[in-house]
Amino acid sequence: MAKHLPSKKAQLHITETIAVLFIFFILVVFGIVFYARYQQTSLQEKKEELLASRAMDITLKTLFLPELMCTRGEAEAEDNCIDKPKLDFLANSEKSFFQENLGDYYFSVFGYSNISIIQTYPEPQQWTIYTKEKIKVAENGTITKDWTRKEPTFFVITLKDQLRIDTLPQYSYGYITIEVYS
Amino acid sequence: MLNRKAQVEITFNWVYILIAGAVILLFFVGIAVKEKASAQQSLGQDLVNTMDSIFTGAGVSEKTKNFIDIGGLAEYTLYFNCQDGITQYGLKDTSARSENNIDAIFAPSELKAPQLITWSLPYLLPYKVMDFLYISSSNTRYYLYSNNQKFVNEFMNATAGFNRDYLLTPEQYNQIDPQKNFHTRIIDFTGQLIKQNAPLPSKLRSLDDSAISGLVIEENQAKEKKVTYYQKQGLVWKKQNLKPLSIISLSNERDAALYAAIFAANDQMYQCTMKKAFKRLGYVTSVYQGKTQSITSFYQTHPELQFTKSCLSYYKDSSPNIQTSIESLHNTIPTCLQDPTFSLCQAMLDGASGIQIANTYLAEQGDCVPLY
Repeated sequence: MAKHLPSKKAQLHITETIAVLFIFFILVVFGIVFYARYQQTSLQEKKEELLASRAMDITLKTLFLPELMCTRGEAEAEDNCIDKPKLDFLANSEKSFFQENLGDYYFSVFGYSNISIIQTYPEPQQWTIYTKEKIKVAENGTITKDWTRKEPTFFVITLKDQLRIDTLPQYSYGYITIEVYS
Repeated sequence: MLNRKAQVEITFNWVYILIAGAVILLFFVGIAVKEKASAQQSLGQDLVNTMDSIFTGAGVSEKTKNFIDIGGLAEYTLYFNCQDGITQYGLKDTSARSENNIDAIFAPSELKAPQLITWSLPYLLPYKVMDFLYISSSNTRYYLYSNNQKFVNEFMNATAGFNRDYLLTPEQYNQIDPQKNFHTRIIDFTGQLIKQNAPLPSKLRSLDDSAISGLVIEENQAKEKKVTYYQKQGLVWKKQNLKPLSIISLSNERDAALYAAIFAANDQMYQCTMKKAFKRLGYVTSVYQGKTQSITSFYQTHPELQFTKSCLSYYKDSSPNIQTSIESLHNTIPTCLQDPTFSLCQAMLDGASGIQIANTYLAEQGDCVPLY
């Protein structure tokens, strides 16, 4: 019987091989875990980068929107200026103009975001011209938010009002807030 | 001499080492291959995202030209097309692409160059509807042939920095040399050079069909411009759109719609992208209708103002007046959107020019609030 048992040397050999394999696989698993964590972090960073870039793009588009900007006939438009009569029309209807044409058009421009215009001087005033939150509807009809981060962007603007008795256009100061949902 | 058992053990050890080594090597090769594919895809998507941002910036920077070095990506081919109101661009033969159903982008169907050129012009009808973005490259060459010296001068000044030239005679056309350009486009304002089945200049004949394109822009007595696109097919020109497309614009200088026709790859891109502009015109017009209402009610609630009567007349009573003209413009947009050749879109110009005239009067008054 003893003749068929592996020798001590062979046993040592097998144990050695198993140990090498074990260490090798430990290293491989270690590598995979490390790589997966790195990928996860870089994916998160990428997502944040994309969100910031989307926020900037939407801000840029909003500031140069023909539906909002102050014009000067056929000359170049006034930079960072919002035309108040246009703004009143866009925001003051029951549903804002952008909301009304949301599915059809403006969702492609602004996506999931909130856009508000805040006048700070001479008197504080606020208009919300677009709001579309990312939500999910559960099977029982419950609505919950479907976003993890909101990237706000602010930009200083002037608001031009030409509808004045003294015929001189009045410029107010304020800022535009654009919150983009992740 | 080794005994038989030892011989088997050594052989087994080597086989084992070889198999294990091969498996380990394959594992790492697999990871490397997968990583390479993913890095390429990620690079492609990064490039498309960067292009998105560049185009957004370029699109809103009115009347500016940007020269963007993309030397590291010169071996990639960028493609552009527009179908069913959606512009699609990306890297050829990869899944990296972007879709845009809002912005008006006019570009060649393919670009492969170390430098991209972007230029934007506002499209006014009569107020600003949107910015048109034209994309070209350092190795896309444009040749202009026109009897209208004024336009030739304007084109050469407006497109400074582009790879372009003008032809003075048909002989010069026959001697066109494509050099090492990726694409050559001939813009014929006379209809004499490019015709259906007309032979191509000799040096262009050996090139790939997709490397040569042309367009003919013709103007009738009523100053209405129409464009017909041509493509090289073998040794001759072939018409792409059987019915010419109308160019809808009010402006005479730096006409955004005319330059759009020049920079669009083909009739499909021009038609599809102009439809986006007309759709936007509908929305912008609604906003101006709202503004018209605000202005008229302001004047109606302030009859004591001495200039009210004259200002209000340009909005409501005079001929042309803003209210009627803007309504007419708004009503003709749906018909225009249904017409594939844009012939019916000419009707929009009546309303648009009415608004333009009334607005000019209002601006000249000094005390009146112009619409735009």
